[in-house]
Amino acid sequence: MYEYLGILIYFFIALALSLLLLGLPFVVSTRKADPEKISAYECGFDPFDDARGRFDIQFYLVAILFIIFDLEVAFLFPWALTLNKIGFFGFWSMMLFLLILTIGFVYEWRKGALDWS
Amino acid sequence: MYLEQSFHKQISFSSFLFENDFLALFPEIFLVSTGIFLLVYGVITSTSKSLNYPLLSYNISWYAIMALLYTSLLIYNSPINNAVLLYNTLVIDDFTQFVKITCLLSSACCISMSLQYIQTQGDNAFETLILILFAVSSMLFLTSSADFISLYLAIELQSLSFYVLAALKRNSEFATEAGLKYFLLGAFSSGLLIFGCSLIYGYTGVLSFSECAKIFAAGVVPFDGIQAVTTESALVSLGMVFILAGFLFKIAAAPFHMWSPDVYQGAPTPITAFFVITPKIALFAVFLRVFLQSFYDLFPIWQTLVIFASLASMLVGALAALSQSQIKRLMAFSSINHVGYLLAGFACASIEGIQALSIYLIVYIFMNIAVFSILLCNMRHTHNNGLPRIKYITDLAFLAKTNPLLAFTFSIAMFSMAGIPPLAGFYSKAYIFFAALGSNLGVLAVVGVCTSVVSCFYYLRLIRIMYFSTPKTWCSTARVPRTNALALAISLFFLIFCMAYPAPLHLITHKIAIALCV
Amino acid sequence: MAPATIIGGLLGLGVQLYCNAVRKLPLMRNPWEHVLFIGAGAAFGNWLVDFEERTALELKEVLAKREAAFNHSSAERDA
Repeated sequence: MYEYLGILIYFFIALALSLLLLGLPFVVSTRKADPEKISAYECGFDPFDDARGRFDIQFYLVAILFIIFDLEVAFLFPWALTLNKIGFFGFWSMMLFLLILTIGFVYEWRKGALDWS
Repeated sequence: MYLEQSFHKQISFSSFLFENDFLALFPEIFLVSTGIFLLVYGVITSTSKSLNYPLLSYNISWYAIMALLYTSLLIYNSPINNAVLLYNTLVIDDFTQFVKITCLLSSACCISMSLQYIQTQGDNAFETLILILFAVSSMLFLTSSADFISLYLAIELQSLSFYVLAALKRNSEFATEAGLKYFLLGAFSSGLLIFGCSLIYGYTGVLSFSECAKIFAAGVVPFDGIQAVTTESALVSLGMVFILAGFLFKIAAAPFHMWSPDVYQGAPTPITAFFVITPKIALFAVFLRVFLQSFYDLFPIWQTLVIFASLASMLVGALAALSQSQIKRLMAFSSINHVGYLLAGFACASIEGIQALSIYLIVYIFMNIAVFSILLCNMRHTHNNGLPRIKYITDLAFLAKTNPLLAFTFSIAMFSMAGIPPLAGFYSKAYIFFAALGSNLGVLAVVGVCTSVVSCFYYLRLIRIMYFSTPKTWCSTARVPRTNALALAISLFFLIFCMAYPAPLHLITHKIAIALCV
Repeated sequence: MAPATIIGGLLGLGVQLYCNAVRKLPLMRNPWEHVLFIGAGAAFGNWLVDFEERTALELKEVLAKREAAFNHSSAERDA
C-alpha cells in the first residue's frame, strides 16, 4: 500500500493544479462578450450549417502532418523506456529516424505547407 | 560485471553488423541517402529567393542518372556476393545482383529517355525524380527480401511511389483518374497480399521464406510431439492463393489486368515507360523466390493457377490489343501479352523455365526501351491542333517519310515483339516455348504460338501505317535528343545482334537460375 | 582478344553513326566523338568476352557442385 503514496500525492497535486487553472479565469480575467466569442465553436466551423459545405484543404494537410509526428512519438516512447538496454546502436538508430523525419519537416516547411493563407 | 559483459556483447554485435550487413547493403544505403540528399538540395534550392527560384528537374535528372549508375557499379563490385542479412530479412546472391543491376540500368535509361520531355513539359516537379529513386531503391530491397515483412514493406514503398507518379500531372483529368484507379486497386491487391501472408504466418508461425520451405517440406511427415503442418491444409493453400493473386495484380496479369491500360494511358509518357520497363523484373524476382523456395511443395496448386493466368494474359493481351487506337493503351495490352509468356516460364518452375523467363525479361526491357524512346521524342506539326507527342497509332503515318531510320528502328522493335526470326524477340519466345515443352506444358507452347501469330497482326499494322498510309496532316519529329538516340542505338543493336552472340546472356541467366533453385 | 576489340570498335562506331543519322546531323560531325565511341565499344567487347569466360567458369563450378550434392544425396538415399 505504502508504495502507492506517491501516486496519491501526485493525484492530489494534479487535481489541485487543474482546479486552480480552471478557477483562476473566473476570478482574474477581464470579460468582454461579443457575438464571435460567445457563439459555439467547433474547429472553426459554424455548428449549425449544411454538412456538405466546402472547407479548406489545409485542414487535411495539417491532420496528415500531425499524424506523422504523432506516430513518431509512438515510436519514441518504447525507445525511451528501453534505452539502457539497446545501447548506442539503438540510440543512433532513433537519431537516424529523427533525422529523416526532420528532413521531411524541412521539405514541408520550404514547400509552404505550413503557411495558412 | 554484468553490465560490462552486455556492453561488450553489444559492441561486438554492432561492429559485426557494420562489418558485414551494412557493407553488403552499402549500394542500397547509398541510393536511399542520395535520394534524401537530392530532396533536401531540391527543396532548398528551388524555393530560394536569392537564387531566383531555379527550375531543377533537368539538373536533378542528371544527378538521379548518376546515382543509379554509381549504385549499379557498387553492386557489380560488391565484396559480398552471397549472404543472408539483418536477421534473415534480406538475402543477396547472384540472382539478386543480376536483377538489381538490370533494374538500375533500365531505370537510368528511362530517365535519360525522358530528359527532353522533362525540359519541355512545364511541370518542373523535381520530386518526380526523387520518387523514381525511392521506387528503384524499394525495388532493390524487394529483390533481396527474404521474409514476408520485408517483402510487404518493399512492395508498399514501391507502390506508394508509383501512385504518386501516376497522378503526377495534377491538372489532367486522365492522370488523376489513373492515379486514383491505381491507388484503389493497388491498395486492394496489397491487402490481398498481406492477408495471404497473415494466413501463412498464422498457420506456420514463421515469416522467413526458408523457414516456410522447411515447414512445408517436412509437412507430410508428422514430427513426434509436434502438431504436424500438412501441405494439404486448406488454410496454407488459401494463403498462398491470396499471395499469388496479389502478385498477379501487381504485374497486371490477365484476370487482374483491368487497371493497367487506364493507368498506362493516363500517366505521363515517361512514367508509363518507367512502369512498363522497370518494375516487372523486380516483382518477378521476388515472387520466383517465394514460390520456388517457400511454396515449392505446394507446386501442383500454384502451377495450375499460374498456367491459367498465363493463358488468359496471352489471350487478353493479343485479342484486346486488336481494337486499340491509342499507342500507350496498345503498349499496355502488349505488355499484358508479354506477361503471359513470362508466366509460362514461371509455370515451368524448372531451371530452363527461369532461364527463359530471365532472357525474356531482358529482351522485353530492350524492346520497350526502343519503343518508348521513339514515343518520347517531341513532334513538330504543320497544323496547330496537334499534340506535341505521338498519341494515336495513326500519328505514326509520317514517320517512314520524314525520318526513315527512326521508322526502321520502330519496325525492328515491332518485329522483335512479334517474334520474327532473326531478332532477339524470337530467341526469347522460342526459349520460353522450349522450356514449356520440356516441362510437359504443351498447351502453353501451342497457345503461345497462336497468340503470337494474332499479336503479329497489330504489330505489323503499326508498320503498315508507318510505311503505306498517306496521312492528311503532316508532322515530323523534332531533332531526336542525344540520349534517346543513344538508347535507340543500343537497343537496336541488341535486338539485331543478340541472336549472333547469345552466349553471355545465356550463361549469366543459367547461372542465376541455378542460384535461385539451389 | 583481337576480334572482340575489332567487332566492339565497329559496334561503337555504328552506335555513333546511327546517333548522327537518326538525329539528321552530318554523319562525321565531331570526329573525336567517333574515336570515343570506338574506344568504348572496344572496351565493351573485351569486357563482354571476359565476362563470358568468367561466367562459364563459375557456371561449370556451380554445376559440378550441384552434381556432387545430387550424387551424395542419392547415394545416401540408396544406402
